[in-house]
Amino acid sequence: MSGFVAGLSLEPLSFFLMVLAAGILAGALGSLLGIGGGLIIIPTLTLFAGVDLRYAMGASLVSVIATSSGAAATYVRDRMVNLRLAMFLELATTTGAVVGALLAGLLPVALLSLILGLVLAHASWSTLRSRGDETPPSRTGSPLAARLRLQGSYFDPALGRQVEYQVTRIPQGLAVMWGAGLMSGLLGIGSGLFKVIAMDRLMRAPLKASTTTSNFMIGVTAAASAGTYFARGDINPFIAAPVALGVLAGTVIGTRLLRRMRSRFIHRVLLVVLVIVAAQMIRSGIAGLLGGGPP
Amino acid sequence: MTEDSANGITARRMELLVSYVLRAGVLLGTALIVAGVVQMARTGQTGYASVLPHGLGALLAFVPPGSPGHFPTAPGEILRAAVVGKPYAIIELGILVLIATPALRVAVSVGFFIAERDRFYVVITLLVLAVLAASFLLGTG
Repeated sequence: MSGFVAGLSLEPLSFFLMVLAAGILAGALGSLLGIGGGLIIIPTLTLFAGVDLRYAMGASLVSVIATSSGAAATYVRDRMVNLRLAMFLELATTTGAVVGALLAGLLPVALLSLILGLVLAHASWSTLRSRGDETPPSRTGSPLAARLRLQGSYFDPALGRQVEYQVTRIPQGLAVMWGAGLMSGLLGIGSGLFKVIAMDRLMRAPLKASTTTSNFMIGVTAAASAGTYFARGDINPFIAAPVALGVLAGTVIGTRLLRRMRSRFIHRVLLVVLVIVAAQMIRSGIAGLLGGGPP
Repeated sequence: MTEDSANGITARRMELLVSYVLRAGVLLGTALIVAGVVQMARTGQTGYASVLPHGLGALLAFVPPGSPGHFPTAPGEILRAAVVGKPYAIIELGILVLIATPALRVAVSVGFFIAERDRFYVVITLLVLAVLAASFLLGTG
């Protein structure tokens, strides 16, 4: 399936600048939501720029690593990230990512896009029903979480005070994290949305701790599958370069915005992006299964 | 949480080191990618088969590795080609630095948990490092 831009035989420079601009937008949104922006950049590259899906997924992986590392450097310095929670859950995301990267060649991507779209549709529904509270709804954690010392605290500039929190439902959180890692390896995404859902919805960590810790974890998850993608020749320098540079510039913008915003606004942005992405994934999944889409 | 202040200061230092490692990796990787892009724009070449400025289709279509003129995928070959100034190889070297940054961050995190005297998390972190090492080996194998 060739894209509109390739059809217009655009010069390489124009292509480069357009992908750079798309990367900036994806990076800004990605760091605001605690996702790598891969879910935004892959459809943009394949549908509007005529890029092969394999190259789009490879470029996306590089961009999510760049996003995560760039934003996480700031979040760690500002003590927003729960380092224990991140490291514990990375056991699940990295093993999932390795399995996903190995499976990537075996399963039809269209089917996976469809499944992912449906899961995202469910995520939008549960986000719509949530209220976007500024403080954690529960102050008691599970005994397992206490034994693993997964509790945390951070300073919230919007509230002007230190927020202490506990987490709960560790086994369920680990299971969703493994699935997030699997999706990351299979589709070349950071799967930050699933990480935020696991920590925010399931484990009951506050949204800001969830988004920053997710951002921190994305890089390690993506690195666990990027090696395989790189060796396969799926990371094309001409496509990965503008994507990585654009996303990084967007991340700088997004990171600065996050600390000044209240969680309710982040929730609204998250909802809009979830709906658009879910519809996109379902549509491309069905098109692919009917034989009309990219392989 | 340990409230030992000496421990706390060391842990804080390790936390800042994690932050610096991430920042340095992103800066170095980005600088290399920018250098590769500048070199590509300056010479009008990629260093490999696809030639600027009239080959956008050739630049975007998937070509399996090993085909004539394909960009390199082995780290050693990339390093050698980058040193002689091939634009694609310089960009790829930057990408490899970006990929290695989170792995290095995990390695530094071992130090953080040693400073916190938290043996359980030292083990957890080493396990994550082992999974990352395994994935890189599976990728090249």
